[in-house]
Amino acid sequence: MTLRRKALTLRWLTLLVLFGLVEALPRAGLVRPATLEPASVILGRLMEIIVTGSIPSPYFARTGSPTLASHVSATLGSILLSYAGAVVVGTAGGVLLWRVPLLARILQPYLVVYYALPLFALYPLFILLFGVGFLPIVLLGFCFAIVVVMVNTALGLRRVDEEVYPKVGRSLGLGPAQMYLSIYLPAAAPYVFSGWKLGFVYSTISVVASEFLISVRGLGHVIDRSYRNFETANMYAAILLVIAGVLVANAMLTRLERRLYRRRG
Amino acid sequence: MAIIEIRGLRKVYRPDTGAPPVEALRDVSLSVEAGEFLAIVGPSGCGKSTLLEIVGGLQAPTSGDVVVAGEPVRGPRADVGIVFQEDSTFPWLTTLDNVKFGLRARGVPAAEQEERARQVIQLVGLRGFERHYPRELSGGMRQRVAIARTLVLRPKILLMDEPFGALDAQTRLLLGNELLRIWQEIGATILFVTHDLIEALRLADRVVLMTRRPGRIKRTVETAAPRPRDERLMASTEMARLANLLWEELREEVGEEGQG
Repeated sequence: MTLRRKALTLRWLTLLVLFGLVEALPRAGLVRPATLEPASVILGRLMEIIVTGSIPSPYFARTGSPTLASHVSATLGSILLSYAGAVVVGTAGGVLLWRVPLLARILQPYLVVYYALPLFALYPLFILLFGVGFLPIVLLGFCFAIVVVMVNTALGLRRVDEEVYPKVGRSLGLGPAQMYLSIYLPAAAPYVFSGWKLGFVYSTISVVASEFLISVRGLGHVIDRSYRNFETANMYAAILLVIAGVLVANAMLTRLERRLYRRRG
Repeated sequence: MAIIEIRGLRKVYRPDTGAPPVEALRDVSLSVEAGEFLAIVGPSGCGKSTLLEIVGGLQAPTSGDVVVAGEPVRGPRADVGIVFQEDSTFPWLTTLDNVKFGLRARGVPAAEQEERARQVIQLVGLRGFERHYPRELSGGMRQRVAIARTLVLRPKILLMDEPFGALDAQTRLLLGNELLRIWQEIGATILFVTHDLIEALRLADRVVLMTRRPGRIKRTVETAAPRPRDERLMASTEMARLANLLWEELREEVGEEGQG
């Protein structure tokens, strides 16, 4: 408990120090306003954007949509779609990798180098194949998130096989369905969930980054255009929105995990 | 009539890595009477656990056969329960749900599950810990949960694979005594694997000593000493003689291993 409290105190303290630095550096003139605005200005802008529901930007007023909702819904929609696909297909794929060792052996080197490849370098190909708009963004997010879900699911299930639990299940006379539901699922849950959590982060990274390049809407687009138009406060406000979204999603997944883990088998 | 008949059992593992095959058991024959408490001792790696898993239907022998209650063993049986050496409690379930696990899998009605689980929890001395998760219990208590989870299914035969192996000396002694009490109460047949000679002599009617790999039966000793066998009884001439005898035989096995 004391460790927890200590960690919590230090965590807020680092945040405060960071806030102080971000506040002081631009005000002291050590950093140009095009690079960084004072923290109070960024937070003030974030509040303004949330309260008014629109981005105070000459650029967006002129060319795009200044309303916050249109950007948030675009980003959120792309993330949720790509993430849902990655969770469903990735978890099933992980089960398959575990059940078919030959498949796992064949795919292993590809899975290992997967995240070392610059998947984004393929975005022109995605545009070529799927056009401009939601589809290439969602598909890139799906591709980016699916492998981490798959690998963690397979890893978790393989770990269960090394444990005594399957033996216990068999000695208690469980059938195949009962083995899956009552032994493998709960025993592998911690691994599967860490895959799901990482998958959400990967999905978010991919969607926001794709929006930089191939979208006219979304928070990634806002970050990119604000940067190009020297609207630094808008850019950081949008970045903070993305961070807040990831934190909320992670907290929700953690809660779900605890509830399932504590559930009566 | 014997409740377990093991005849000419042989088990060879052939690793799929291409490594040479390992003969774990060779020509093991043994019969166990109903209600008997039989201990199996031997050096580590002698195939004691393999033998137990074959009797429990978790592994198939390479040759030879096992007959339980008149039927050849082809898989896990409802009337045979197994307690494993490692902590096998399910960390995602409370004590009560761990104990109910097998009942639920067998489709026993909820009310009966509750009643039987509570009875057994009482029997193994875990009352008051029904709602605790394994991580909130000590190693000895978790092993009680595992034993309760097996006992609640009312097995005629209890196979125990070094069930107290991971526990400290005092807890072992305590749980050994409790096991005897429970055994006398439920009247099951127990096959108890251990590497501890004294534990074997303290608990069992008959102690079977196995050789190092490939495991064969080297010697069997019987003791009719009354239970509970306290320190004084264990120090008596007769028990000391048996312990020495087993110890000499076991030392040969371990010694040969050391030279080879």
